[in-house]
Amino acid sequence: MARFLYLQAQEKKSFLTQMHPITAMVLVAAIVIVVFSTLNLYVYGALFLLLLGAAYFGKLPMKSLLAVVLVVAPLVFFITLIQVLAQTEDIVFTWYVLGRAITFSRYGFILGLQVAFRVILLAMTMTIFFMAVHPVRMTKALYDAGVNFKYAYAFSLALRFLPLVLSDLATINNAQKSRGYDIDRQNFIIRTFRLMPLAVPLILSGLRRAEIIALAMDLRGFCAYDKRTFYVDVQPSRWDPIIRWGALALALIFVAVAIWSPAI
Amino acid sequence: MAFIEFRDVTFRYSGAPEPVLKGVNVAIDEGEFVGVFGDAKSTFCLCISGAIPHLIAGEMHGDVIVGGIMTRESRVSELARMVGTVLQDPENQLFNLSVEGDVVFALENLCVPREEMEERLVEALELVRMLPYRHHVPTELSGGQKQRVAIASVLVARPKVLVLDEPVRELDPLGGNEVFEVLTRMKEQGTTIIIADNDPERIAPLATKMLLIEQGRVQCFEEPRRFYELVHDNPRLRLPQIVDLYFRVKEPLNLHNRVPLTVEEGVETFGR
Repeated sequence: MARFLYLQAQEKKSFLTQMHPITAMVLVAAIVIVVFSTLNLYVYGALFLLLLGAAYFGKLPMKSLLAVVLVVAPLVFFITLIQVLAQTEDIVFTWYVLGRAITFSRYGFILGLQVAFRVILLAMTMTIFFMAVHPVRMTKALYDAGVNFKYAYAFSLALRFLPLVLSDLATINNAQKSRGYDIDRQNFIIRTFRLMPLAVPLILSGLRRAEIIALAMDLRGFCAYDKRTFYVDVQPSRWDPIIRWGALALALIFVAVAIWSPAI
Repeated sequence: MAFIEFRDVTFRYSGAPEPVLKGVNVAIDEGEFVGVFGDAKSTFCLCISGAIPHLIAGEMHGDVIVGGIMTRESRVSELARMVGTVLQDPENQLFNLSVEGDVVFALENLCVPREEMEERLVEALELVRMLPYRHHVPTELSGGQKQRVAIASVLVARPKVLVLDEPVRELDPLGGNEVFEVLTRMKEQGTTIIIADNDPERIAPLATKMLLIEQGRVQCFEEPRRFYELVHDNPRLRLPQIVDLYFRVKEPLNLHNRVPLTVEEGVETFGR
């Protein structure tokens, strides 16, 4: 089974993998706010370079990051294409095909690029976050921040069992294939509908698995007491408050600019 | 007074028409190694860990007493300090993202100070010979290794009783041998071990007593040789070949020596 993405990243220690998870979450929130509060391509370009630099110097696996960008590439292409064809302002040229006019809009192209950059930046930000922040460290940081351990632990638990659920799905799919129910050779829409019957055994096996996991966890004293101790130690450095407040201040500046000078 | 005591225990699962345990009375001393065979093995194990009646829906009568604590009146988390339970499927018992994360999980829940955890973690992993794998992801381990980690994850709490519910059922012979090597070491250390299994051959050489439950009732609870003498004709028990041979030729050869539990003992018995 392929190693988890975050584990590849955690193999090399760097400022990103050692960053306090709450600081990383604040930075992600700040980037999301900035991305949604402006459509300025220069800002997007700067953020793009910043994220690439952070990933490179943070020793994250660049191939995995580029793979994520490639996954969203078709979406980005079609968003841009639709904007180019659908917008009617600033038409650069018009083609006539079978008597119908197809217009190419410069405004649509810019708008498409802006939306595409948004998608790429959000995908990159979230990928870097999930690669850099170890779920166990995040659980500890969230617990320290006052989040109930049950909820803080849920993400880590989901990451552990997601491959098993996918493995169950593959087993059920293979079992159905051996009985002539093959969904892999169908188009996307038919596949989606044909996946429905597979969901029933998958959900049932998932519920059974959840029952056993819950029993095993209870037998090891899960949430036995209101408080708990942790094997990992996650402490904020003296820089963390500065980074957090700095990132939030920058995000607020962008929001203020978006409100009072929307043209920028 | 026995360390583990079942006093007239009856348990019926919610929605089931019949109880799976019916008036069970069993007393197990500290340091014993008990093999459990027949019906309702898992139910018997879960009664000791306190999962029954606290976590599993059903109707329970009678009492189970472990180390002087009545399981009915104690919380499962309190019992977890004394009773370590290993379930059948190793995959669903490792719910953390690293081996060491799984092993320290119980310690974190039981509020053991962080400074103490490292020592106990190393001790438990060394005992199951999994220390070199402490940073591995559970999905990267073989079935036998996973089950050894599952055992380490309960041993780390230093329980007085280790309850194992068919721990090798889903393992290949090599994985099964790995688990039994660990159990042999645990027995030598004096841990009380209760193991549910279907193969008396593996259990008998280690067991101080063997328990057979049929149709909810205790059919036999004796030391291994006496156990075989009493239930060797029970069709539900898969006897070791050497034991089976002994009982087949016992009368024709007029054998009066003890029931052999291992091939070595068989050679001694039949070689004379």
